Amino acid sequence: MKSEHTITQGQLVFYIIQTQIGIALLSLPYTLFKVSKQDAWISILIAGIFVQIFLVIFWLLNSRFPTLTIYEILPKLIGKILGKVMVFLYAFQFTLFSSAVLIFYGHLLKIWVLENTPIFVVILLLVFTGVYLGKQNLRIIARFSVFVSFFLLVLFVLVALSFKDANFLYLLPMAKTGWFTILKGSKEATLAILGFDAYLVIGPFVQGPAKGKLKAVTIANLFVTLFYTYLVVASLAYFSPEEMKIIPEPILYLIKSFSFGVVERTDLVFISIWMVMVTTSFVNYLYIASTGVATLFGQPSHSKFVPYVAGVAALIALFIDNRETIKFFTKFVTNAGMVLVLFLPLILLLISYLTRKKETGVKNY
Amino acid sequence: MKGLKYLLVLLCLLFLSGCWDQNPLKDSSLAMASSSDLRSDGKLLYAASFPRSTQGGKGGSQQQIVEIVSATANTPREAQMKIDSKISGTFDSSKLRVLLIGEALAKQDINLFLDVLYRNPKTALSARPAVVEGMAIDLINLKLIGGEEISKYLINSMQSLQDLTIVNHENIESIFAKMLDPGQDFLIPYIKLDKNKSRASVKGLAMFHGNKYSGKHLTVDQSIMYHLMENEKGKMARFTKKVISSPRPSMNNYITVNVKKMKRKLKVEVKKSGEINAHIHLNLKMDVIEYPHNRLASKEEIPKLNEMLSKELTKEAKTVIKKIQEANCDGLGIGRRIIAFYPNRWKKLNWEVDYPKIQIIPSVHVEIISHGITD
Amino acid sequence: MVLFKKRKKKNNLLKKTDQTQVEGPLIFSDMNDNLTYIKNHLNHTADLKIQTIRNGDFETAIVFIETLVDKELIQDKIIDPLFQLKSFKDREDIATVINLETISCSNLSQAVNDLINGNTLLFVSTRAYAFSVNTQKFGNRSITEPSSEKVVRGAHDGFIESLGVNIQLIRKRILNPNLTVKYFSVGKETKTKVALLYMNQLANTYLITEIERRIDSISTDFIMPSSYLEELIEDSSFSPFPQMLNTERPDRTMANLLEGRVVLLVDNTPTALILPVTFFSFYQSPDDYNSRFFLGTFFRIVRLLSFSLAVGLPSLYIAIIAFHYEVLPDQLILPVKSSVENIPFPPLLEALIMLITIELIQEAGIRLPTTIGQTIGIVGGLVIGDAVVSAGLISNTMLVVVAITAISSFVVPSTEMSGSMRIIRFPFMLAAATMGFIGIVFCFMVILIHLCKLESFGTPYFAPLTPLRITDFKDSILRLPIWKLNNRPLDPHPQQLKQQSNSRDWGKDDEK
Repeated sequence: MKSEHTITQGQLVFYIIQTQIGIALLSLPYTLFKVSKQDAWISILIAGIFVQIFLVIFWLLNSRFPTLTIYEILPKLIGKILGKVMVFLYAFQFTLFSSAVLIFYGHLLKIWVLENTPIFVVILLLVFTGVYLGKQNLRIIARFSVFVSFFLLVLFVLVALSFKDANFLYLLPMAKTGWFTILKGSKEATLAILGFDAYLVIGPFVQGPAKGKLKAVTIANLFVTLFYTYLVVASLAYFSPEEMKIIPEPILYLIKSFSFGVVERTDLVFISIWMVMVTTSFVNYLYIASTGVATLFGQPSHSKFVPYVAGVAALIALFIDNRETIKFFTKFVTNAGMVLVLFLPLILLLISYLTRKKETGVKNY
Repeated sequence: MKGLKYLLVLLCLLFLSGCWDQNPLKDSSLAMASSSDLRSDGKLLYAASFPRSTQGGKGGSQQQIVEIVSATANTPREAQMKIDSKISGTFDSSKLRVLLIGEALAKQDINLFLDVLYRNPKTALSARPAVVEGMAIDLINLKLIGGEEISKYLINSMQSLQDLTIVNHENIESIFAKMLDPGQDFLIPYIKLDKNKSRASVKGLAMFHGNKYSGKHLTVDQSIMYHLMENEKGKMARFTKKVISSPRPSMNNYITVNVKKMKRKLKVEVKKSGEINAHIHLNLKMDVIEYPHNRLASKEEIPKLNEMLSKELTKEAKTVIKKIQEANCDGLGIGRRIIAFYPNRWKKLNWEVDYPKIQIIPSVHVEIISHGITD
Repeated sequence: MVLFKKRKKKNNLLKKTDQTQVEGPLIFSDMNDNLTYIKNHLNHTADLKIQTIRNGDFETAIVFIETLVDKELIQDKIIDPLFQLKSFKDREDIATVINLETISCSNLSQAVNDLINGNTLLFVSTRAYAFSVNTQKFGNRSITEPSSEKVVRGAHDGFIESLGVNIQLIRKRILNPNLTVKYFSVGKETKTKVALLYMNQLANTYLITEIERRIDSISTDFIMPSSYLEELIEDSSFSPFPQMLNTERPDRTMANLLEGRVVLLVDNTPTALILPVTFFSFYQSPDDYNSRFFLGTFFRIVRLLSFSLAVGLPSLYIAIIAFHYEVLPDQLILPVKSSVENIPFPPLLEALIMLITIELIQEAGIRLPTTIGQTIGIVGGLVIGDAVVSAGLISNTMLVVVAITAISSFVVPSTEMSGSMRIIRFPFMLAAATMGFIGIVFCFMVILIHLCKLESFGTPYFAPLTPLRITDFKDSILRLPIWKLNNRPLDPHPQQLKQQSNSRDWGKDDEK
């Protein structure tokens, strides 16, 4: 066991929360609304249930191989060569996630705050900050995640103010869009909920009994699902359905219309806090991806690979620069994420059960 | 060492990058109020007021002067660009507090000229729109006592009227939601210039249908009633009603009451026949604030007054309903309720045509609960 | 316990002789040879005094450096008794007449070392050994309250330049045999004495071995003040944050010792180095414990607020004025606008000019005598401030911002931390001037990441925030009543966490 890389279960909760909550936060109600209309909040709840199912699968896989990351499990189960290919795919997938973070963040800032600043400057700033943190060991990254979670409270309160002017009639009629549409809406949430897959990689570094780990990821999932539901309900109740259709970042628009005695344009405050969330998402993916690359090269430490992975992510992010390619990229990442992150672990688990392969000689504590 | 290196790189990045988005306060001209009018030739007449201060030197008081600049153009953005070339500093609409819309323009699609504000991330969405009788530019050109800036004057007066339940707190964000919703409409303050053109006063609420001004407005008393029916009350809601029919006009014949507490019930029901009925029931607990008769100690007086006031106010409410239905302005959001509770019925409705036809039945029940420190 | 203490002392003594043992010639039996050797070895320095006494059947030579010794002591305690001694048989004879700490030594180099330390050497004719008598003179200043760490209530004594007195000040406060002192001599040329103090059975043993290891590896020629030592053993010198707490207050030192921390004292320096520390240690003052806990908590929060003001306020102001003035409310924007309207400089330059002026005033104030220092403060603060505004160079609002910033940076009860804050704000300002709020957020994150990863002797620097430990808020960010603080803070990893059981047990008795 890599001793100084272990984290506590509490840190696991926040690590997963911070990986999940990030870029999609601002536009989630809009993307969901496009499909499931006023029932968007049911979609996100259902998405939460799906996440829970996958988390249980991950957890089962992790309990069969308590000290191995997904990268180390793969070669064991499906052979060395195929395993290596899959490790590469996984690492690349996580790199893609981190460049998705960069793309959305860069474009959002360009639209909302820094209209004239070249997008590469904004992206490079995040990349440098990300590399600085990403090079540290897991424990420090987790500490950072725990600390910045305080800011979620600020976001919570800011959004809570919107309920003053909310009109809950906009949420009605309830569940009238049809369950199939609602389910389809859940799929739209993929980009927002991705991040719990971090457990595949950091699961083995968590201290404590296996049951506690399941509890931790469940708490994280519950929190994120409820937080998202809260955001979706707030924006659904604040904007009329016709308005929702034309506002791509409802959360920001909602906060923008508040003004306090001392601060106006609250959205700037919100964006500043949101950027910290984005950084944690980026760094957490960066860490996971570079751990994969390190495993690929048989190196024990991930630090060396962080700048390279971040460089690749930045290159991809700089290359994709117009709305059409972003759309395509999002679709690609979402679908690839579905296959690799969600279904492959299930297959691995089945293989593991069928071939009765599991890690031996390690006490499952 | 590594930390330092990163910090250095970060700083270089920041430094070398320059400041593309710099937007210094001192180089900008802040428009606090704007007026938009439709000219007879179909072009837009746009004006904005810029408060400026002159440096009075050390210790000297700074003097506020207001500069009003106008331009004619096809779109608001074009007008802003024209104004920009006329003023020192860059035109900035992010601090806009009041949007004055001329009557003629309001009757067109107001979304067309609000769009520029919704699209810009810097706009203050808390700006208040208002319809001006006649030309809005006359109002923005108003010379006020002490050189007061027009937006300050209007905002202050609107805030006090909000306390009196005459004006609501609609801003351009909240009307946007209602404008786009088929089941809701909005009302915004209706301002009129006085005859001698020295003051402006709010004359009630302008009723909109969708994104167009219907050309009709509620009076001040009706606005209070409308707000009560909308379940919104400021600090006070006062009515002065004639309760004693005497042939001689006298102050004695009137009572002034203030609504202390209120309860509203709005029920929309769709009958099997498809007929739509809306019931609005208002339960008002009142405080008598002016009644020169001093007869409130007697037991019969208060129930009598209650009954009379209930009748008077129900009548008032009916007038309001009639007016908003005539204007085809669904300010109470009845359509929204049908969408929410009877989605199937809604699909068959043509709300544009059907709304004026539905039955809205108001009833007001008044209960006097206190009468100041005298009987 | 008594036994234990004795053994401890012996150990110390042994260690000391071990350290001072140097290779060199043995003492010659001819006294004159010895004296010549010493004279040559000390380069015939003028303050070396040799006095020979012929008395009875033996001859003695008293050697000392007159600038280091207490001459009266030598007269009373060495020369006078020697005259009374009529015959000399063996070492015991001398030891009984001289009522001072006397060691007999046989090594000449060691004897010279002792001489430099202020001892007096006593040679007896034809004997191949010498006596080294402790006759050091202490020219100490009196114990006064440290001027940089004043408190309103509480003890008013402070450390001085003598290691012995300083240890005494601490021992006086902790009457406990567990208080352990270890001596080191650091500096190849200066042989400065460094003392390591800790509570045995409380301070983490790993920590002590680690500190010993680090001190042992120092190979510098000399260490001047304690900050030399600090830079030689701290974890990361490139961090803007101080990783050891400097204090001149014995009470503060004592409290930290009892939390399981370790104290380093350097001879001739009136400051104690306390380690390991966290960020929040710098925001604690003995005053917090001398006032009621509401007040103590309030002051702590005010001090932490001062950190964010000192670091963030100028950058926030620059970002607002140069980028996002939309955040200002309607009523505020016009006054601010009219105050910045005619300023020729960009906000960043404006802020830099004023902040650097303030740094100048401060530096000038320190170097000058107190009376002139005050004048400089008045001239700088009032005259420049007023003139610069009426000349239209700097805006009123900027002056307000800079003044609040300057005051905030002096709130923290530690000069090092105050210095860090003054440095950190410059990158923040640059970032704000290039990218507004976004730049500030990035700077904030980099500082935060740095704080997360910074460790001081194995203790996370930003504890109890990262890693989060809410129970430790009780005495770091807040200051709860003393009886609430049943456990020590976790960050120095003390051997015993519990520091009291219920001290207010009497409450229960009253109820009965």
